[in-house]
Amino acid sequence: MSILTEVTAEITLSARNLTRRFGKLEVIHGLSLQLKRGEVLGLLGPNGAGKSTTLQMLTGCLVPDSGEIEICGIDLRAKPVAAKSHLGYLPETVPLYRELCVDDYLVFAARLRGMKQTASALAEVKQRCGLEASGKKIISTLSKGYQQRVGIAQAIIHSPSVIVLDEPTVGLDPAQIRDIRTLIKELGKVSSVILSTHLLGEVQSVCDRVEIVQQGRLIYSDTSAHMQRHGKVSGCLISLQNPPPLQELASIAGVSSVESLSAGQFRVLYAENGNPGSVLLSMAENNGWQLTQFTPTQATLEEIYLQITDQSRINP
Amino acid sequence: MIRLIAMRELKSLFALPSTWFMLAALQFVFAWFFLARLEAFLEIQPQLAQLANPPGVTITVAAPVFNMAALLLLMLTPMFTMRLIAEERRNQTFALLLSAPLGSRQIVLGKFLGLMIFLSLLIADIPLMLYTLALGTSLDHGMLLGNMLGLLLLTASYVALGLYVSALTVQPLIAAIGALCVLAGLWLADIGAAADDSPWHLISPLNHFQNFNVGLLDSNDAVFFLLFSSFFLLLTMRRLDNNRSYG
Repeated sequence: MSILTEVTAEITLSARNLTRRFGKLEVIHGLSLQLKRGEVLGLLGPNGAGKSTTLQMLTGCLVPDSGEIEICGIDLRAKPVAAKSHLGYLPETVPLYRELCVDDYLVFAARLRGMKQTASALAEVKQRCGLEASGKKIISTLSKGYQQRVGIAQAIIHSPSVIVLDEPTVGLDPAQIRDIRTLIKELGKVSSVILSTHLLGEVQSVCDRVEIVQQGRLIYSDTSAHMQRHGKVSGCLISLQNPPPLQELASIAGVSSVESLSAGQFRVLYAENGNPGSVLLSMAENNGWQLTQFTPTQATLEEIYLQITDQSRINP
Repeated sequence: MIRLIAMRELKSLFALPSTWFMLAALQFVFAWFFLARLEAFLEIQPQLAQLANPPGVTITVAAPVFNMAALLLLMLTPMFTMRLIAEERRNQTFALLLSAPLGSRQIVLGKFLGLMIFLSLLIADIPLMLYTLALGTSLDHGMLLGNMLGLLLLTASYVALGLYVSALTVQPLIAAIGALCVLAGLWLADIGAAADDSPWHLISPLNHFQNFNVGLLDSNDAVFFLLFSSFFLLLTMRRLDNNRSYG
């Protein structure tokens, strides 16, 4: 079933060999992307990597120096109007006319994208973004989180095929972040979503696929599940009230290294295929080490991310 | 689309308290000047009556009011045009228009039209005020009409130029001062040029308004305003396209 959907899923956004320079400084070097319907792509990268510039080019706000962009099969440069009607874009700074009320603003955004009947779309988008009670409020009086919601609402009100979100959860509180992530996942079922972020948790929780950008190049591209397994070394934290010498722990079959964190607390690392957990437990019981804590640990996304970006910095 | 953008401009303008303040203050200035002219007219009226072909109330009261409105608009229009593009780019709201399915032509014409509607409303109360004179005397309707048409065309040229300067910068203040400098510069060069055939007279919008002001409809002047406005509107469209290319 999953193979079938993968084959039939249409490609909604494709960018080939984008380059962009500002003056003499080339910020994007031959970047290519592809996005299918029903997919959430996370564009990950450190500050100044070229994420926002890439998204600006994908939405027609900036013209690339070379390269092609197609949205739903329509060339963005040759037919900008037709291509952009499939697009919803939330820039880094939310483009809000602060003096308007939420309803007026959203209706304007919908009409701008060529919608004629806006009443039902407006009601639906307000419900999705949790803005039901804010329709008549002036945007400048809303809190940052609500303004961000209005920004997302304007990007999706016309149900576009491609939704581009530039750091959608910046400045939100944890509950709002959770809501927005749920919303993005929902959107990703029918449209394709591309979002930029430097929050790894965001990638982990909402994205199907990750592209890591560094210095204007894609340096890593894979599903987010795969990324979590990238270069993984498994390990566990153990606490023993009556610990044996370090060498004894290190000599257990499968253990690759043991590190003493404090008196009685150790970090045990082992290769992915040989988990020494059960051996360790039985030895602890037989030798009276008095085990009080046994916590499996995973390499965090942060560690993996740093590993990937470091690697490319050393051998670009 | 053009209408949609124009209506959005108007909605935003009327949502701002500063707009209402500006409207009120201008209304006050116009009324003050109108009354001052009217008072002066009433004072010299007995002497005028002794002339064989005395100038009427329209040329002594209405024409100066229109002339002053033309000068005031020269200084005011840049305050409004700075909002159109420069402020939108600084507030980063311009991305909404750039990523929407419309071209530079629609953006520029929409903004031009929106501000023109607003300024027409603003100058519409001048004829309203002047027509109160019709209660006591007869007016030269043709001359009033010519003045109104001239003032509208003049405003269009101001707005077009202001819009272009607004597209050149992301700093609203620079956009306002830049447009003001160009407009005031054209005006000063015009009144400073002594020779009758000086080219400065030809390119100054205010100079072309003078014929309208005395009730003379010259197609030359009308064509000048149309050319001047369309020239700067076209430049603005070019500029917006270039902004996308050069960031």
